[in-house]
Amino acid sequence: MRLLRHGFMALLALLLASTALAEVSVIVHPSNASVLDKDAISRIFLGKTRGFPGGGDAIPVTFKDGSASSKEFTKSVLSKSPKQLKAYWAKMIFTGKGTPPKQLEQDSEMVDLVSKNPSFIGYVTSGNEGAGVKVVAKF
Amino acid sequence: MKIMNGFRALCIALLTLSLPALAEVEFQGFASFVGGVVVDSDDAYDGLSSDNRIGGYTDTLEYDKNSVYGLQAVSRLGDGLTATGQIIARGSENYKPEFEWMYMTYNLTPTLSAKFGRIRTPFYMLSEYLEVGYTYHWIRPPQELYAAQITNMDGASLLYNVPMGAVDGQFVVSLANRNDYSEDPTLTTSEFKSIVAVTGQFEFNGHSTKLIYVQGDLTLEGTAISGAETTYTGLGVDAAFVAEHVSIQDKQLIFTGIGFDLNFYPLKVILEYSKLDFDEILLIASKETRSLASVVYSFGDTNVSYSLSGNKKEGDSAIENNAPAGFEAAIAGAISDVDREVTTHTLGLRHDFHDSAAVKVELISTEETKLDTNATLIRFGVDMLF
Repeated sequence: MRLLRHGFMALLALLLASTALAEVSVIVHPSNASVLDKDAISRIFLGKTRGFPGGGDAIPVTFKDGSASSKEFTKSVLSKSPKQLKAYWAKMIFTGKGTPPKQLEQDSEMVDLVSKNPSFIGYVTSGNEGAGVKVVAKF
Repeated sequence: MKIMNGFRALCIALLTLSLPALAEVEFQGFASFVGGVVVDSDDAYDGLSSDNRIGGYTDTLEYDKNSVYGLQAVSRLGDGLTATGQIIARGSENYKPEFEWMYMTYNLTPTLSAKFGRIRTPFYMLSEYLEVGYTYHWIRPPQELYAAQITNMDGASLLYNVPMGAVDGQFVVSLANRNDYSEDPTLTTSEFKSIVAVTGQFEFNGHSTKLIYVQGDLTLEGTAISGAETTYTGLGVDAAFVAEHVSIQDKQLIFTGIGFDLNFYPLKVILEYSKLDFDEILLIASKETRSLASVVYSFGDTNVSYSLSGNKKEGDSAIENNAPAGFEAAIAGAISDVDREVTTHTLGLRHDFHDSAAVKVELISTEETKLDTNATLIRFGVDMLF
């Protein structure tokens, strides 16, 4: 019973914590016509596919572990905790199946990168999209 | 002369071309430092140890049995071609570094890739990251199920990622051979050849399941086997029986398995079952079933787990039907000699004290009912990624 209560409290804390995190916008190059839902975005960021559903190479770009937008994206799009994501990439790396996406530090770097290359897909805190990129989804 | 000039030009071109590519070799590593000691066992404990059931631990604290260091180098050569090498040094093999893997991967399409070289044998749910302790809650996965000595093979595999709605499917087909897989110095030949392995893995909403099929032909030669051949022949058992059931030459092994990894955070459940079927061999249990159930409960950076694992080996009674006249009882005895039934309970604690490192403690209690032996082992360790 105590275990259950503990679990429930943990869940509640998680739910409360989530409301405090900022919304993220997933961005691609304006020429990218692919329809990208949560599953498709998650597959690209987890290295399960190397292409966009509508064709063309897909190269995901993310933020350093621990940043607010990285936490939010990992939780709401990849449905993983940062620790689970770390373990996931350890499995992918050491099985030679893939390597984690390149990590950036600033939203402005992300917008700059994505606006210049149709293969890139990234995300920024909603409101920081700027010009030159297309928002395909918000989480 | 012209050819020489051409060759020289080619060398120079290759050197200048390959230098920037070589600069992009990435290194990643993992390490597990594990100590363990048997705290309670009965007299027949030596038998347990030789079966490797308790990982070779004794009643003296030892640090080398499960310690593993690994270094992986990856070089992306462009256009979907990647070279990956992984060197592993195992404490149980005197930290002798060896290439566990060395393969090229070529991406044929965004979801289809091919591997060539030394690759992992896909016997289990966790096969591909078996040495990377950081990725799971055990110090080492329970030996009752994770028992195969053949961890890698030389050949080719095709990996196909298939999205099916909300389910991510992944299929791998491999064709390979493995020579000299055993570390046992008394074996002059240990081969697992004509390996065909097919696995299907399905992920849905954080849960995953894996279906495994592996077949291959086993050949073992060594003093124990030739000794048995001589003994049976000396007793007057006919050569056909010895060749068929005592010698281990191109004996087919069929391995089937199924695993589930279910995540209901903070609760996680792992279930795995596998079955081995050998051609009728007298010296190795022809039928083996392995099972594992594990429950993990997380409290933030700490988790506790309980695992129940079992391993049942049975000789093939069909061999008895082929026993030469007068040897029925002896053969029946030899068949039942390989019977074993092991049950092991493991209590585990893991604490992630760092983003890339975890400390673990395990209490393992194991019991064998045919020989009536038991032992209790305490194991602790640190796993890290670097």
